[in-house]
Amino acid sequence: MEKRANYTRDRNLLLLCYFLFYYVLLLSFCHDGRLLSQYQPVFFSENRDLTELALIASGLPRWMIAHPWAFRVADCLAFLLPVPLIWQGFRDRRFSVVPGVVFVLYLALYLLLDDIFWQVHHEPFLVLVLLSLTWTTRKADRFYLLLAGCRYYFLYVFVSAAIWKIARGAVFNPGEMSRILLFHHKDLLIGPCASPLCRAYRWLIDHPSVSSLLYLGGVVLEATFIIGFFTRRRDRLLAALAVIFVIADLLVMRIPYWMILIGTYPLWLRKAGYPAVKKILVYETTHHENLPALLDLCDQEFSEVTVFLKELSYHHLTGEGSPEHRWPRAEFVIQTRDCGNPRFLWQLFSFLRRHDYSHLHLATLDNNLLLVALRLLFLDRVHVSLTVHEINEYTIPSWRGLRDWSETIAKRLLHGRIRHYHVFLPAMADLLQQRLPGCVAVFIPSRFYASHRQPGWALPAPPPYRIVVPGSLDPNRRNYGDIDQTLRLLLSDPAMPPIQLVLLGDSSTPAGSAILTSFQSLAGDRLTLRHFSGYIPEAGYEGELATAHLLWSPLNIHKQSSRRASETYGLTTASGLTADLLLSDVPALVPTGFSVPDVFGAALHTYRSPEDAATFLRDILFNAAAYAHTRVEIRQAFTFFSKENFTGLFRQLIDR
Amino acid sequence: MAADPKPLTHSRKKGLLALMIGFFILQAGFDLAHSVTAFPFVHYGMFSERFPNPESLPAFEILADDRPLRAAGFGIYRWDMIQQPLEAFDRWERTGDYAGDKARMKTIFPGLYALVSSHLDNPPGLATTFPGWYRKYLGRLLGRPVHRLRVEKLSYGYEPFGIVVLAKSPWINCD
Repeated sequence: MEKRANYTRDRNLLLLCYFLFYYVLLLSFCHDGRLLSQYQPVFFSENRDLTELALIASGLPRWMIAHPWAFRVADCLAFLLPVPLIWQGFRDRRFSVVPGVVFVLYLALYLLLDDIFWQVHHEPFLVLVLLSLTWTTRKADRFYLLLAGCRYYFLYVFVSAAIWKIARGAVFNPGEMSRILLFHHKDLLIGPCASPLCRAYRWLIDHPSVSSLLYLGGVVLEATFIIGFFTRRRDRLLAALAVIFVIADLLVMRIPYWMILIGTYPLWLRKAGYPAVKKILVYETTHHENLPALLDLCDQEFSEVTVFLKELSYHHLTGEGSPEHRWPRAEFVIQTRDCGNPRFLWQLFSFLRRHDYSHLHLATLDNNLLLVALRLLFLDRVHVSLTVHEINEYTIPSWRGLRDWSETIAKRLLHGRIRHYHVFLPAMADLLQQRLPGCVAVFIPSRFYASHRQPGWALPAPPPYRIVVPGSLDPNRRNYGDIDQTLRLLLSDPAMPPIQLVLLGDSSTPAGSAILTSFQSLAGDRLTLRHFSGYIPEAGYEGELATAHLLWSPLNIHKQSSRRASETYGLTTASGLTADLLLSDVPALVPTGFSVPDVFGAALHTYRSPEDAATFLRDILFNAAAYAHTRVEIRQAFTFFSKENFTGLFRQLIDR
Repeated sequence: MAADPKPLTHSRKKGLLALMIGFFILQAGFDLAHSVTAFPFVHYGMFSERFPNPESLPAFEILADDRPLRAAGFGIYRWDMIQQPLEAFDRWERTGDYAGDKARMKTIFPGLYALVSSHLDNPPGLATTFPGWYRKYLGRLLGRPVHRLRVEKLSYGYEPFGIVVLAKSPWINCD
């Protein structure tokens, strides 16, 4: 299926390039009076070519001279014969080999006639003829085999030219280039020779050592194409060298050899088809908490999995054992602190190409977007997918500063290149598909629910009731005032059971310290406070969640992304809460306005005000029977978050 | 456009490969032979021969209605199309309508030559028809009728101070 899609794309692209090239060529013939009907020859030449001699012997050239209307017919056929091929190619009709064979034979005949009548010198046109053989087949394997043959022929043209110059000693002949220039440009030199180009030729003729260097450079450039016989990894470099050669040939020798450039098409394609082995490379920066589900699925669907990630992310990827232990088939390549992001990305792309990976998933892309976008343009064989954390930031352009400009351009390129997306909420998937029509966007949670990790899940644990507020203490993202006021309301009731408030985020920042001070003023016998400084190790983080009775995420529903795009929690971006919930099947509180996804509905409860939140705590958290019932419901609902239920969606994500 | 997903059979693939390898061997063979080619087996040895220091540079001086045509005034291909018929006609004249090649063919393949010899000759009277044809052709290229055409064969020498005419002989004169 993969190869088939690729073949259709490659064939259509060749159809477009080839016939665009072909008609430009014919029109250039027309412009320079080189069509047979324009030339209307009265004699033919023998050019010491056996095929041409056979054609002359057939009597056709002589007959055409006697019947000049035949030249018009010949030109008309050259223009019209590709039409059935193009029609057949784009209309996707039943394939017939006849138009292809007729075209190949006629193209060869037309070039032979051109050479017989006006010395077209068909060397640069041969690649055009050979490529036309691809119109005689519709088998993917045969198509690619013919392209491979054309590729080798194209390389041969250059290498052969270099070998001739070396073997016949011209490259060792002092003043060779000077004499070639003199002979080749004699018609220009005879005249006034006032143009800068003509004066440059004179200067080169008068300075044989410099012109010899040019000749030597040309031979080296031609010889470079020998690399292509041993590896395809430098094909695009060789294609670029071919372009340079053609430009240099035009400038120095006044030989317009541009028609040979159609031969670079197989070089741009690199290898035919996608890699046979399914191997995925995952790139992650700091959102490692979202990786577990992806890695579980990658482990199941791919023969090889490699994760490029930061050192910190690697160490905190899992709270249970090492990442290698949890995903034994995955390899981890760690970005050390002294390795910058561009260098690490460079290593990633080199690794990807060197080891022929079929898939690349960008789990987080928050730096060097333009670099990544440009590199992806040259990775057409790799299936690329991306996790979108913030939809507005990814889809809405911003032109405020230089970085915004570069990232907006990069995102435009990424929109064209990446058509498969992963998000953390079903609503985000729908919105992204609206924003990027035709793309595939799938919802896969950060991790799968593992009930075994919550021993005693349904038991109403004794007080103190542990209310955990996960996430960094950031007033831009969370409204801690709601919790503060709710606790004050509860504390005013002497019957309130003891509570432990766990601020599960770094409180050592200036903003965090202010929030902490506010809560410390409430602390006493019935309210204890637990807080952390610095980064919380994953094991500790998960441990706190596992013993929580309630999660509370006092989100500011509307927030600004790091690039100042306006985002809405539950719609354009997901909170880390959805990842945390699956670690502990306890109820969670979120403010009204948060778009609660159905799949998390059993666990997420909204509140309009501190009073509303206090009521919930009294009715559910402090009520043993109600609390136990809630957790049973949550547990049943969370069985939905199993690997089996998301395998299909993951396959959509990685399917080409 | 739907593609045929059925893979090629092994023998077919091998056949195509053999065909391609054969093509390259023939190509290399013709490359080595060099003096003769057989399209599509051509050689890419241009500018590889050792160029001796030219004693003189042959060229055509074309005067259309007494005005000389200069390369600098035309595009590369356009100038090529002005020069090329003259070179071809000159070659035709010098070789006596490629008499040497025909004689060789007659020696090697007498039967075949007898069969096709009438097709190998250019139309009779070319020496007289060519000047008139070329004058009209030149008129089409220049976009104006040429009433008086003169072509001279010149021989130039390259000196440090410039190009000098070494010899000059009239060739085509057509009014």
